[in-house]
Amino acid sequence: MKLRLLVQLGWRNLWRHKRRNGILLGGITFAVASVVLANSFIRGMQVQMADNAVDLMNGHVKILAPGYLDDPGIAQSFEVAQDWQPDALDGITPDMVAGWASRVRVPAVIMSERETRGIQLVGIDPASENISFVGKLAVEGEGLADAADRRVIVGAGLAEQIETLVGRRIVLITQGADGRNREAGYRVAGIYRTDSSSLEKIFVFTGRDTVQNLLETNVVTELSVRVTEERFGPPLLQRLANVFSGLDVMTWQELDPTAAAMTAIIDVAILVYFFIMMGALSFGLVNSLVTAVMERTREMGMMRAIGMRPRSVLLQVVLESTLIMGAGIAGGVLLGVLVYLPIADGVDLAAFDEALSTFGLSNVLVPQLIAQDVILVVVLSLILGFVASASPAVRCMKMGPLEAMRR
Amino acid sequence: MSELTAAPPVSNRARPAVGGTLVTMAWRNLWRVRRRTWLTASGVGFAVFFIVLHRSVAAGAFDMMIELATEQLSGHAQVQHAEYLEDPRIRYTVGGLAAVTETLTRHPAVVAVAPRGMGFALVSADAEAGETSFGAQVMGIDPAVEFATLGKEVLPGGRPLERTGEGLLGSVLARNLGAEVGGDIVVLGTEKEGGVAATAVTLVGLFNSGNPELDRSLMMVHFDDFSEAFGLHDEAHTIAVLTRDAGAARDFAAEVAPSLENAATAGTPRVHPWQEVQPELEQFVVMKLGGAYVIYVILVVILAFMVVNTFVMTVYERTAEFGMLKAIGMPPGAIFRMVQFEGLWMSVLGAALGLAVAAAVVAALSVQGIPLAAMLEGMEDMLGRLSLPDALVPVFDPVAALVATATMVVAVQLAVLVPAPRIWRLNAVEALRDEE
Repeated sequence: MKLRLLVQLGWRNLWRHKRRNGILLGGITFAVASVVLANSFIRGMQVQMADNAVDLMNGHVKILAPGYLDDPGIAQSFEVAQDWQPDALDGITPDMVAGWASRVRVPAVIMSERETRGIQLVGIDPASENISFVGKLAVEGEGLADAADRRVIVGAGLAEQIETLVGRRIVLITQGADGRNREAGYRVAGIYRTDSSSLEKIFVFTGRDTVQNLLETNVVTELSVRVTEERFGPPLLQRLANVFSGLDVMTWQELDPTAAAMTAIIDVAILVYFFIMMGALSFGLVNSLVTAVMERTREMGMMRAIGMRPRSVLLQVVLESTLIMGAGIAGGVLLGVLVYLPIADGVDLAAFDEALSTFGLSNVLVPQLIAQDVILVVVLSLILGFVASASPAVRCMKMGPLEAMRR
Repeated sequence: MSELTAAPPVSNRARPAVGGTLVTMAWRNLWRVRRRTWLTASGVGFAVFFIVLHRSVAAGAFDMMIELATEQLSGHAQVQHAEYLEDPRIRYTVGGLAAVTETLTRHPAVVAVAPRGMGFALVSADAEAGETSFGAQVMGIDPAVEFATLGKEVLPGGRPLERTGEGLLGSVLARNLGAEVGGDIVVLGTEKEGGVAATAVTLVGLFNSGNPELDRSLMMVHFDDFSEAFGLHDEAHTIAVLTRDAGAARDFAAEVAPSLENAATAGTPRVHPWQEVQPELEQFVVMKLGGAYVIYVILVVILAFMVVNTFVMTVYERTAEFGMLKAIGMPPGAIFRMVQFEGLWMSVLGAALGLAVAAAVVAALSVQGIPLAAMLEGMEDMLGRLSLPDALVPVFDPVAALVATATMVVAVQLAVLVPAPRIWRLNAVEALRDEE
């Protein structure tokens, strides 16, 4: 009952200064909305960075032969059974695994009638590449049909450099495990385009069996597994490490330390931006609350004189601060979400193409509004409002009723 | 009210209050509500502090990043065949190398001019068949004039390139080839006219650039060896130029381009500033700074709300006072100017506070530098990729200080406008009655 009365008093007090509190409310709303939106963009960047790192044929967990990273050649390879399945592992259920793909990835030289370039030749099974960017490529001409497809698809950037077209022939030269070079002619089935101009110049795809035939082997150089949720990564890693003992079982963070580092930095950046913006806001909040307390000194003295406890006076000031902060937060979150909705599908940042791709981002940035972030902003803002009201509240509590009324 | 009874004789028309008086009054008014003044000024100071500090650290970081990244290889500008940047073919060269070099060297801003040849080749560690070979970018450099830091620092056991017949390899490429310092490297490629380009050099050193791409794929040989093998005659694929100021690279490129038309043979060359050679570097900086501007703007707007609030409080609390001023003949314009001056004092005070703290923090940080390497432990790899130094020394950015201060002063003046109409609407009699 007492608390309800105090809340009611606080609420009415706020309405005594509509203009002042309206402006304060506007400030809080703007600040909270800015933070919510800024967070959604930064998170979007983070999710995309991580996603792209996983997409870049890493998967969440990847199995490599020891030494492959230093010398990415067919000599560093291993065998995988045709019917191998990660979800047959102990403790791993099918719904945890999004997919897996084994590949033969070797450095090679591509020659057209006119030009020669160094590239990465990747033998894939197109059916299992829905776990990487390869499965989402926009291909002009035809994609690969199956793992035995004897044609290649090349990137648009490379096709331009070596002056080749769909249907033309190119020659691939690569080195076998015995150190001898193998070469063979292939027809270009299609030309792919990606968001990143550099990727297009590096990767040339063909069927996995085709590369194995060329190299006269049945091994693969890598096996990536993608999980449906990030949290399933560690248990999978454990199981795979047991099954593939003697091989390197690595997470995408280990394979792409730059992306992992940037992702980690973003967690900190979100907090830093919050404190900067809310720090600026807190000056105004304290200012308004102090004024509200000071101009009511007499009134509060009277309240004390008619028997209100110091604790209740304190509580009332804190309540007022919390009420306006709460309203501002609600308004801010609402405003943030309203602005977020029309841009939820992504914002085109084509102007920064190359810089974005350097950091594993694509041209369209999709902001991510995560409930957890919003809750964090709400909670931290409420704490801030609470802290901001402490000094004025303590101030008015210290004042004796007589002294206060005399002013 | 006793002061009013002793009112001085007033002339019919009120003398407009002198500017100086208003400024003084404004200053004194600020100190009537000390706490509020300090809080608002601190808010303004906070914004100025953050913007200046951020700019001092970030601008310093980006300048250094650009310096390190351009000095590593690209230089500040590159003279190339008009088609080469888009489509780096061996036949797209700049002719008249000697004349172009001389023309460039004469420019006062030029520090170094380095000719380079670039070609793709298969390299192997030994001439005997069956040895492993890898595709590599072979770059011909002239050690006498080369400024690129890449290749200057080699791994222990080797030395940089000094004369013809020598070669350098990226560390990963060397490991892949199984090449060792002192051994022979065979280079097999296609020369300019389509014939076979072949040469063999002695491996004298290995470099570790921090960029995995370069370490895996680059080989350096002497420019003369390269010219001979790939069939270049008084020509180069790139003539890299290091100038005094990376920031002025665009202007430099535009300035020297016409003078090269006569010097170069075989077509007009193109002069590319580093921004065109390494667009990702500039875009990264622009994107980062652009993102920061968004934060600055949000910060200034939040502060503007707070200042509006302060002045609304000020103006409404002082209704009686303003009424009295009006009653004794002060025109509303003068009252308004007085409040404006209060805002000006407030913002100047805040900015001074913010600048002082920012300067102190920058000074403190610059003694040791910000130890990036220690902070990013386990991510040193990223410093190399981003061309960042191990320790970052921030430099106080006077331009940022000026712009931040000016912005806050203007923002505060605009904020003061919000409660202004009330000053005009004020009715002296009613306003005086407002006093309890």
